[in-house]
Amino acid sequence: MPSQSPLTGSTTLEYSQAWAATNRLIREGKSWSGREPNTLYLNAGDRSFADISFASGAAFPDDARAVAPVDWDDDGDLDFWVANRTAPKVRYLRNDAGNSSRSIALLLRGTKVNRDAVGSRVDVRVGEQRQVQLRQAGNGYLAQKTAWLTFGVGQAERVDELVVRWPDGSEQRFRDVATGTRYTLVQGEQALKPVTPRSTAAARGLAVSEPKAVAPTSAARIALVKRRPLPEMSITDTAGRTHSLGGRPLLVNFWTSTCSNCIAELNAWNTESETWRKSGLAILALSVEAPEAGGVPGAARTLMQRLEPSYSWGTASDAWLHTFNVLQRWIVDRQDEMRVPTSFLIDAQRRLAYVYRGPVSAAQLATDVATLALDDEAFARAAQALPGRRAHAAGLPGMVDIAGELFDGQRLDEASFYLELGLAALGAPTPGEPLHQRAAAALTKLAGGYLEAKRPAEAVARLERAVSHDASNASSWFTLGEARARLNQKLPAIEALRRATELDAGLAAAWLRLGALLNETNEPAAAIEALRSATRAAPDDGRAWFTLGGTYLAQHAPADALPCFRKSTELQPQHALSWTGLGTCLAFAGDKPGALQALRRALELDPQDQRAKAMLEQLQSTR
Amino acid sequence: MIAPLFVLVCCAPPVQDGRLTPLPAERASALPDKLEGEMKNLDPKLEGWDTEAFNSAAGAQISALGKLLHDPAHVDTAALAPLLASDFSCGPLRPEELTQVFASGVLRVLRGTPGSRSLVGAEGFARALRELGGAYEAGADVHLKSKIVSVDDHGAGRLACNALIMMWGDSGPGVTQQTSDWTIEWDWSESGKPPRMLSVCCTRYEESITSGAILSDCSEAVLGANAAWKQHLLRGTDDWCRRIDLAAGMNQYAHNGLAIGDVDGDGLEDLYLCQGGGLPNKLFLHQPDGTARDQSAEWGVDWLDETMAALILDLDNDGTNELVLSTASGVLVMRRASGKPDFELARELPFPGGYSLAAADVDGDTRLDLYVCRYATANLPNGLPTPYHDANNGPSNALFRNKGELEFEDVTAKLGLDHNNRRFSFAAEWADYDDDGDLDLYVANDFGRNNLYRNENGRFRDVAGEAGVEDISAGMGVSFGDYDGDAKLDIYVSNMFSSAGQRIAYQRAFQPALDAAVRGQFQRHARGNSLFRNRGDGSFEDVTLESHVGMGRWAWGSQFVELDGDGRPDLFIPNGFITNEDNEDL
Repeated sequence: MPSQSPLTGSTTLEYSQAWAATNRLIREGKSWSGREPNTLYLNAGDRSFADISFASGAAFPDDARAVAPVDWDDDGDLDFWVANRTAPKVRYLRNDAGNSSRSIALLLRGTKVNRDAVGSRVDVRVGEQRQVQLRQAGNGYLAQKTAWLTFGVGQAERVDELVVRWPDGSEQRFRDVATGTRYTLVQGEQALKPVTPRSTAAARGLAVSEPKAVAPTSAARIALVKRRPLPEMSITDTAGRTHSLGGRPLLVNFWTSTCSNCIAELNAWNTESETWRKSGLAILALSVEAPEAGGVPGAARTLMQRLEPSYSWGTASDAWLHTFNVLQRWIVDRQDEMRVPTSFLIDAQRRLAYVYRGPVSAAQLATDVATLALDDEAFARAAQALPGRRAHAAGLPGMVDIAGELFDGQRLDEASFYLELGLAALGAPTPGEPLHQRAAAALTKLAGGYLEAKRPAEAVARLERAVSHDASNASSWFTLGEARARLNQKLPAIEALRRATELDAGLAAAWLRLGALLNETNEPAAAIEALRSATRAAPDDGRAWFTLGGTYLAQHAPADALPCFRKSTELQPQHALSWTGLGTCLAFAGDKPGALQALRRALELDPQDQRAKAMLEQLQSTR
Repeated sequence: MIAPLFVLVCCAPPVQDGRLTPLPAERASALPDKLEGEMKNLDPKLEGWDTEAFNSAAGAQISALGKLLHDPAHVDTAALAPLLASDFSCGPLRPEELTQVFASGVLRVLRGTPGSRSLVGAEGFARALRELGGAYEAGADVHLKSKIVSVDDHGAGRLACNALIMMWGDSGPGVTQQTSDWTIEWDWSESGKPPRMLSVCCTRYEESITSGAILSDCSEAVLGANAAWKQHLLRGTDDWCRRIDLAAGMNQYAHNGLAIGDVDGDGLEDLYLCQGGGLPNKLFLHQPDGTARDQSAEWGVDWLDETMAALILDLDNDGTNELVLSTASGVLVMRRASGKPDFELARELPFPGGYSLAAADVDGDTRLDLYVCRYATANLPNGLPTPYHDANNGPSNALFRNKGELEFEDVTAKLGLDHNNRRFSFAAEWADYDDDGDLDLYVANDFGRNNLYRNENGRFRDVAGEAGVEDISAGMGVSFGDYDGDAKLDIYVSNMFSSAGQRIAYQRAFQPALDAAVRGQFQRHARGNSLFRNRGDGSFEDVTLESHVGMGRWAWGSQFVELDGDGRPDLFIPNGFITNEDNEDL
């Protein structure tokens, strides 16, 4: 990834793609600097450290994040709590390295400074050896250590000197302090107060064991704390009935006849149909086997004929399989391609509420359907994996990502649906913000799809919004010009193309389109200027030279047109009209043999070229 | 890219997959997939870093050597031969003379310099390896873990690498660990075949020996009686990411920390554990017998919002502790309530995406103020860190002044902390590094230079550059401590030790347009942790290399800690980024 980083300025496509790909690989189960043993360095006292990670027992291969030291068992040395990404999500490591040493521990109490005495420093001297401890609140990474300051003193029975410097700058000095004790040190008081440890002996004799992590399962019931809106979709089942989403609770199930769990599940739903029917649920079971000639996979039909299902069934179209696959990828942060059986429970408001990876029982379905009528807040509570409270309701994540993946599968309307949901969360367009720049880029990409699908009006609607999110995106303006041109909105198209070329003078295609449009609106001088810019931006693009030549010719300037057509025939020798243009110019220039040769070449390439024919005949008839 | 040679026991149980069947191939292949195009920008092998391919191949060979060393007293000479070129030679791998540099309680450390005696062929190597294994008791199960840290291509199929070799195994009632640096020359002239070792030379050798337990895992004994232990804590993030809605905030990265503090005022410090979105944060109240009781719900602190960090501290000096959380959506401030639950939400600072929290009374009004680091989250529209080695386009950090009554005001700009303040900050610590009586602030930043904000009469100035502690690398954590007993505060910074980064950034093909200075910054970026010795004149000296504390792997919250009671701070380094069931590392 660093090898893709732009060295200055803004993000490049390659750099952001590298980030996206990294995140994606992690979501799909890759490890990255995983299984790393925690490291423990022992201060060897000679300004060097020794690696004792394995010798000490610290080297758990956890994805450890934060450590918080505390003398948990009151035995005079620090034990460690470690927060992990992996299971166990927290470890308590009892430390017995200090058992043969003495220590002293202090809890500071501020009276003229903050009560916790945060910001204080304590220096301890034993003989020539000095040590410092800081009272901090927040240290390391995402951690807060014990409030007690613990000083190891080896075998020393007394500390020669102990100096506390409070955060207000005042100091207190204590001499000849007995070790092996815990003290509170109250600001301004003359004596340290010994504290009796509250821990019992049991705390020092806790059993040692290796916690056994629960094995993850791919099968899961995923309750969505925030129900996801679904686009309008419909499909026809084997009985010829059309099913659409919304209106009543619907379970969409994907299965194959070769998957035993699918068959067992389909069978169970059939025998227990009373259970789920009572709840008002409809089930639509869609086979994902490849359809045969009749549109239905034979093995699936055979199975269903045997089952005589009490629910509807059919074959998943590419549109449905693709859309639901993308949806199930983006409901959790661990992304897998869809496997079967997978089922989607959709509420009457056309929102996805539950996804079941693996089989789901009729009883579970009935339970879950009963929650669908709850309001958002109550449903979110019902959908929690473990109980707890929330300060903020969940948002709608992944909408733009879903749109991107649907777009890649040419599901334009579904992509548009999710892009709009994603953009709604952005708020009002703010020029210059990276998120809005990305919004504009996404809308432009979508519009490009609509344009390719010959739906220019839909393209224009998106592009007008794209330029309101980010008016500095030349590609948005160019596509807008192109789309308006296809709708025959010539003047607005010209305006958009002018914006595009102002932002990026190297956008040859925009210059070319602009030149052509200016021709159509009878502005030949402006057209010639635009087309000249097109040839400058892309000197190897024959189309620009050809259009420029044609424009000169229409302006009765064959001498200017001639070099353009020459260039055009060089760059696109198979283009008949370029030869026609060249022939015409040569004829004007009095080069009859050259003209004849060019026109004959035009007619070879396109025998139907009426213009070339007429010109040739005219030339041949004159002496 | 490097597969670990030994996957240690525990922690990554295989995924139970029995209930799902893949889609039929012809349907699955019809689904669009963009991954291939994106991959090109990611995989160093595809990017054309030849030595990355070498690294995989050489790593596999060292791994094979590790297997032969399981029982080092009986190294199989015949099995060694295929790993070696015909004219192989090596020096001794364990010095004959070892000096004890440390001894205390159950722990000893020995060091030595291996001699220059030359051993040849498989026979000679086997002898060197048997000598190496002499550190263990007979029949010990010996493990080896290696990391290739740099590769030099000498041309004509000759390559050399520096590798960190770690071995450990039982030794009486304790464990012996050997830490060595090896330079290995390789012959990789035969295409399609694995590289063979031409020579092995040990350049650094250290041996740590324990005669009893140091750290023991008693997690289950402390927490096991709580339902949450099995239901929640024994499931890893990879599992929760398969079953908790993304909308709840659950994600793969798990930047969730912990806090120690006396929440209930009984004189025993308790544990508050932050969790990812959709999983409740946990409050475990410390009992005198060493166990801890889950009181998260009863005390009203079982927040499901994604929580990065927590502080337990007395913000209003009334003798009871408040609880402060940095969450994805804001900073929550809770205080003790009179009824049940025991805590109530008193304030929320609209400052989403906070990471580490660090409190200090900056203005001397006796009230603790809050510094909040911020990184990038989905909620924050800052785009990607650009440029990677020196990014200052992240969300801003802030200092919130405590005005009393648990009200806060943002004084970041007023105090000069708004300078260099958008650097994707993971962590910060307050300490008076220059002994002038006021607290200064060090901030560890991920994509480039760190901040040292010097407190100059109540206003702050970033002096990291002049003090020599910019530490241009992937900063993740910071810890102040006096490692050398001179009463001056030194700084240890956690970074990313990326062996892939080390290997790649040193090659010419890496961003060839770079000038030497910027290339140096990229190279520095992957070097690992840094130790800065306080010179006492306001500046620091980078003593990482001579202190041997750089290799903390992918380090997060490293801290100076007193481990063994000798008064010299040691270093605990929690590390590792993402472990999923896939063994092939990115």
